[in-house]
Amino acid sequence: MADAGTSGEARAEGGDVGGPLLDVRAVGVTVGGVRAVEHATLSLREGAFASLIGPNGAGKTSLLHAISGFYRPSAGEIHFGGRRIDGWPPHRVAASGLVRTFQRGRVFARLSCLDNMRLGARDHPGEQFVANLARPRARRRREAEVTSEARELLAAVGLGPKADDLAGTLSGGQRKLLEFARALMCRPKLVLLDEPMAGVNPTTGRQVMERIAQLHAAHSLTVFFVEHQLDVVMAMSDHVVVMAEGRVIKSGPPEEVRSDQAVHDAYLGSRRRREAVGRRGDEALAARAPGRDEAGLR
Amino acid sequence: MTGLLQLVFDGVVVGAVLALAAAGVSLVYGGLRIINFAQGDYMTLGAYVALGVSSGLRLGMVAGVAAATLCTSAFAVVLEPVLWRPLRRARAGVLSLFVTAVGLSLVLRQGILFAAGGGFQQYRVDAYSAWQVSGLRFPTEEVVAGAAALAAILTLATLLSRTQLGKALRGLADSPELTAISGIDPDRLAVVVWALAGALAGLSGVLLALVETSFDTNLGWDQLLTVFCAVVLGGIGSTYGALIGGIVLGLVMELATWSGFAGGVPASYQLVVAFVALVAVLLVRPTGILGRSRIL
Amino acid sequence: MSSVFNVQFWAYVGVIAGIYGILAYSLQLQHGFCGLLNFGQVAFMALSGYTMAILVVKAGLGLWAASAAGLAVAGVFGVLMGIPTLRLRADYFAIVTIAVGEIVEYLASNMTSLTGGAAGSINLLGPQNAASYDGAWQDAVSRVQSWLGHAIGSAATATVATMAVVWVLLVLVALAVWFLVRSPWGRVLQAIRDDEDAAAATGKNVFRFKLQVLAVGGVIAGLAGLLFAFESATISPTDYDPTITFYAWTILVLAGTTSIAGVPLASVVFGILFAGVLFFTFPPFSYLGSADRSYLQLMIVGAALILLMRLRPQGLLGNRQEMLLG
Repeated sequence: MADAGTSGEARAEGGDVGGPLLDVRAVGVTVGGVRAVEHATLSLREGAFASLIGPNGAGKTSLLHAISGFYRPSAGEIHFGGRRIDGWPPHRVAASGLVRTFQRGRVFARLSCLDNMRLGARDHPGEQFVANLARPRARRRREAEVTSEARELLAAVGLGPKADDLAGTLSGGQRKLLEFARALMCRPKLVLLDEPMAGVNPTTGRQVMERIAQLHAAHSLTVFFVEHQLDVVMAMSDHVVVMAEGRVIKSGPPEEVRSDQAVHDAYLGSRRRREAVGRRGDEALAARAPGRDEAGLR
Repeated sequence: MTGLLQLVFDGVVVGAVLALAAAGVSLVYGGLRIINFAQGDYMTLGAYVALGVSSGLRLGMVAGVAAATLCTSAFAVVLEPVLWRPLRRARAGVLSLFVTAVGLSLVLRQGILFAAGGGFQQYRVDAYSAWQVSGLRFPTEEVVAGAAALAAILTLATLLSRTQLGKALRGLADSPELTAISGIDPDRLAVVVWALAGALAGLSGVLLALVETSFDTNLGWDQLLTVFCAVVLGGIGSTYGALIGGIVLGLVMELATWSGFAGGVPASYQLVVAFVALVAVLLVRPTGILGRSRIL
Repeated sequence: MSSVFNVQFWAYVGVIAGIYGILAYSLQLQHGFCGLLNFGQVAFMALSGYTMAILVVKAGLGLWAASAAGLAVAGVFGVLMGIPTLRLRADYFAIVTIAVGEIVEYLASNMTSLTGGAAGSINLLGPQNAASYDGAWQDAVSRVQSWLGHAIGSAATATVATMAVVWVLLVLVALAVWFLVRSPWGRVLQAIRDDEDAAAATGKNVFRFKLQVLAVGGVIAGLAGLLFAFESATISPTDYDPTITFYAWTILVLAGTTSIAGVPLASVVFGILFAGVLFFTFPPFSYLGSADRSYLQLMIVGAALILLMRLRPQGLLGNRQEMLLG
């Protein structure tokens, strides 16, 4: 059942230049007693612009939580940049260069956009209690560096004029951009994006994605994003990983994934199942936007 | 051995009485996100209403208990549109609601002092009547109070598990968003929550006063910490948890004084024991006995 | 007993209000800027006050060294309390801290050989031998009094001098809080307040920052505890009643949880509100006995709290728009 490499367990290879940056091996995740991820195996090469798709309940977000350290995997291993990171707390994962964003565009609402950005920076002596008091010059020097970097990046995502506004006053799309820009402040190697287009109107969503793609090129980043808008996924990513029922069922370039029968079955099967089961209580939230998953495959 | 059995009896009685109040706190927090700091004073209110009805109006203790339950419930319900609903409309946060409850607690406690005066009170019951069974002593009012509390616990548990309303209440604690989209009128639900919480507090207060035989206006206030401990022990927002937490806590506090247990803890340290038990449970289960763990 | 125009009386109210104000700053740092709901802050006051008194009386330490030790104990206790409790969800944490406040008072009453028991610090050397610890404080206050005497003459009583010392310390604490929250360290605290998960996702060790803020807040509360002990010359467990924490919360909410300038203002308003009820000597209040009037006093404080939450949930100087940002 859990054998990697057999027909239903396609091993995802994002490429072979210099070994994978992220290597997820047979990971299982249990959430509140339910197995959200059964056995996920995938790897990403450095520089990829990869996406993670799958029907609702496939375990995409749970896998993202596990990679970023918010959930502890119940099985398997996660390697990042050659180091094993499963079981690390989220802040340690982030500090190692693997940064994530959240579905809702989580910004620090009562801080200014500039402060949000400055918080993304690494190695700030002012953030250590003792150094903050004892090394005022080091603090000020780093603060100046961080501030100019923050302003540059804010301008790059088009939020330059908003620098001094409280982040809580931003629109949904602006929050997503601020969150992404904040993630870049720590000069990450890999950014995980949880539905960068969710909760904003389609045009804004597309603009958000375009900005992300530009910065991906400019900062030699690796990006891995969960997304439901399959047309965008297919058009923009160079590598697609498909999950269904807690497993990775397919992984490869978009054109290969698009024509894969197993992927079609997974999407259609899940829709049929949902129609049969109807709106059970625990699906009520997930089912608020029915049909969204299938948009691009129809 | 008889000493131990006696403590088990006392623990179950006290625990069952506290469990009622704790269930009220849990319902209110689960449903309305209000840490009801005034729950202890609601209990005191119940005890004094019963005093007025049973001793003042000479209607007997049964009428007193009924009046305590109903009047405290009515009081809690009246405050809903007057006090809590406007705050809910204004999107008040947990802190604003808590501070309001602290204010209410002060007003209520001082108000009872103002109306009833200080000093200790007793119900007109025979404090010395008791059943003796092979060395064990079962004071009549403790037996009656314990039985009443257990009956109320069973009723509440049935209500929560069997009725549509109870299921709605439990769902609310798990996920307020889910209930919001399920079409239940929040104002109506709030009234129900307060009616139940008030009734539980009033009943718990009069039963506690019976068990303690004499009481003053700090009756409920003094038990507030224990009640909160029971809620946390059982898992915040889980009403079943609060019921279990109350009984466990009552047992732990009584049994800790058993001489067979390393000579027994002095009775004045019972509260410390309760707290240590709480911390011990939280170290193992950070969300209490029946609490749900956090899901992102 | 006191007249509305009695300077001594109002100076005393000023002393108490100032001490509560300092305590409110400790809560402001922890809640207003880091989102922690700590309802047991009085425990830190009691620990530092008792540590100081015990070290002076029993170990013969000087008052200032003992005071420093008291502050250190309060800070360390913040870390000790945080380690098991910070893993809890915010609402569990809040309720556990209430318990911590009660338990410390409880232990102070019952560990008679260490603390003097219910009789308080006067009993530290046993019943025959009244203990005191505040000699050096009295000297310091009389020195301040003589300085003040040059400026304001006979109005400079010991109480006025005490008030001056307390309010100077309050301003210093305010400046410290102001510096901390504007530093990068304080920025991380505010990020944790706004969204703990997002703070962790940007690489901040949330647990460590919370431990630090519990320790720093503990030291500030410890300072309030020391002043309380100095001011009253002898302390007993009931002096560190858990309701003190709620008074400090009242001041913080009155001020606006993130308004540093609001705290002194709120302390004054609270002091006037709390003490002012004593002057309700006109009808119908004059028909009441003194006990009834004191009940009424607390009722009015409670009612004022409720009213405040209805009318100005963001506090006197708080910003409602900012409060509602999510």
